[in-house]
Amino acid sequence: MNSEDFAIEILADNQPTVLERLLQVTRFRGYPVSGLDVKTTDEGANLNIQLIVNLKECDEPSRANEMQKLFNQLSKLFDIKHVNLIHRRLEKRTLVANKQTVYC
Amino acid sequence: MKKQKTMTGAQQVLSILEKQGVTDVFGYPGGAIMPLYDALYDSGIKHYLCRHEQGAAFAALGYARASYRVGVCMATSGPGATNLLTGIADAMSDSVPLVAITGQVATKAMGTDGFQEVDIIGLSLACTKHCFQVKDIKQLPEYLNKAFEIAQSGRPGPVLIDIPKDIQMTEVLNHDSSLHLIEAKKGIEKAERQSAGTTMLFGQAAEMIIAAEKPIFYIGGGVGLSRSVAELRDLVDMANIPSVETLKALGSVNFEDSLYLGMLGMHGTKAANLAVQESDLLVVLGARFDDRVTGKLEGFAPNAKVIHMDIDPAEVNKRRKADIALIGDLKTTLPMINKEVDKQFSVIKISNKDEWRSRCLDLKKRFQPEISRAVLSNTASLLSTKPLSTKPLDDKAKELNKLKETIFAPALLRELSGRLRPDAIVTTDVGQHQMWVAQTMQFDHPSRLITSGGLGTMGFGIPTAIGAKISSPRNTVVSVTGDGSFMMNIQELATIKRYQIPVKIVLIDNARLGMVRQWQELFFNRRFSETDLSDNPDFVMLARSFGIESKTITQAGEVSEAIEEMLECKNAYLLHVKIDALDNVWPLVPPDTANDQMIEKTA
Repeated sequence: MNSEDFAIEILADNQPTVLERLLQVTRFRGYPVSGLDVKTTDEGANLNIQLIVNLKECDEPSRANEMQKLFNQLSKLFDIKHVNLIHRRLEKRTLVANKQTVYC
Repeated sequence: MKKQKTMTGAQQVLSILEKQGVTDVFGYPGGAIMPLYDALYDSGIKHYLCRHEQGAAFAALGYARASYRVGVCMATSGPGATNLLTGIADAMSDSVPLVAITGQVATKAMGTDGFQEVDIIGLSLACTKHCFQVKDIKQLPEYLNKAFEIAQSGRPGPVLIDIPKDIQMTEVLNHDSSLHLIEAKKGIEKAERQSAGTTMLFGQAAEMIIAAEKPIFYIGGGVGLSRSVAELRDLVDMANIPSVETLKALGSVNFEDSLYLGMLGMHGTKAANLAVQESDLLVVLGARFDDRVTGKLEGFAPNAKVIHMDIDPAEVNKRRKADIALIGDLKTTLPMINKEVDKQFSVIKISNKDEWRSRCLDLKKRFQPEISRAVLSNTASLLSTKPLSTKPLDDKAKELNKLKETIFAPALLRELSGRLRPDAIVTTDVGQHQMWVAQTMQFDHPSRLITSGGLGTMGFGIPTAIGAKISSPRNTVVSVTGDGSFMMNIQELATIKRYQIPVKIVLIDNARLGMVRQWQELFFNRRFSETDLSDNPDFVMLARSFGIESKTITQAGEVSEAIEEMLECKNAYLLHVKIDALDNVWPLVPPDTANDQMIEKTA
């Protein structure tokens, strides 16, 4: 992982369509996926997804903005409960944005 | 009589639809949805049989857009479901609340490439707000009620629910599913109350409006969708600053407001586009900086700060950076900004916008097409002689040729607009006729114009007119269409016949795929590839074969009488209007160009 990689932690309902919808958004909005890890949690009720997108095509100053846009799009998905943007820079984890349950 | 102890899944679907207040549905039966249609046979819900599932989806869409209710359509599995997708995608693009119910092969057969099996869930992922597949009867009440909730809450949109045949036939205890209904309704209320932005932020926005010297309201479809036209008009009256509207917003502002500059964008009025380019503050209400509106994005309103009010946080800062974002339902947030503006206006008396107002009024006077300066009245004869194009016609020739003059569509539409009652509904298809409708007809509410904005779907007009009329039987419904678009859902004339739906169809026939032909003329060196439709059928004969009264007109002098005949007729009517294939839509902002560089005629 480098400074072009942005990690997103997602907590979602364990529904069959969740992963596909998530990847439809990243593909359609133009965010190449460089890592994906999915685990069921809460006795199978939820999915814990760690998604890593790569923004090397995007210039450095616009990256935060682009991540905010992705965050906004992911937050609209009905089955997604929480979205955390995390940017790993060296050893420091900076929590960039956090979402509670939102309907949109 | 003993109350039934059990009901089938199909009956439960209808019971839930009834509890959701659904009275009309549009659809077409088929194998995988037969149990639902069998249950419909005894139901109080009225089903309208369309002749193509796409027609059913658009009928549900027109129903929803005219009446602010959720449109419901249904189809069988496989091709039935895929045929709904165009209408669903259109609802997604234009934020229309739709619930689409599809049959599916039995759960045991799913995933085996069965007969009429298609992965409709997979296909609908990209064009629905959400979709559900009922794999267990116990999920049905929750999913169906949630479908209604999602369709209507926040930014409206289509939801698909896929129900396998065996689930439709499964017996279930006749228990009260209203628990889910109550939860669903609470969800809608919660979404409506949500609004970000403290009073402080609204105060800051109001300050920006006061301080701006050249502010302008950029009004989008969100005002109509949130049913906040009255609140908008309060704000516009109070602020007394110019306003422009998008295609979906037409009718939001009072069109007689002197500072209303018209539609902006690719085929917007010159006044609207120039004013926006000069403005220093855009107050964006329920709009999304669509590319038909902005032209070259980098060059759009280059000097303007932006206050963006919208219910969808994803639209803010998506295309244009906002200086202040006020996220929430306009029904809630417009009164909040109104209060702040009112407070500040009453404290500070300033005239920093007087010059701007004069400038905009001047632009409007100089550049609005002659035709829309005419007062809305019965002066029919006034209108058919002044074309918008710059073709010079010497007066004598005009006089002599008046009766032989070919029909100029914008003039006809303007006259039609004057003849219609304010609550008449107009649907359009897509292309030149659509832009002429937007430019020349006047609407008193955004729900009066039902046109395909985001997706721009040809074939939209006739079925949406059907749905609109069914939802609003007391309103006159006119569908303005083109010869290309008319053919795309032509089979819905059978639906008009079946239910004797008195829609009025105005078919603007230039025997071309008009808008594409215009672009080929302007940008592709007049290479008219596949846009010649001169082999069209006899439309009058076609309409009559469906029992629809019909007539062709070709001369300007015939227009007034024909419009009157059409509107007086108690039944469906097709007015076939032949126009010159060379008539183009002006002004036009070419691709990759800023909105102040409009073309006004062929070079």
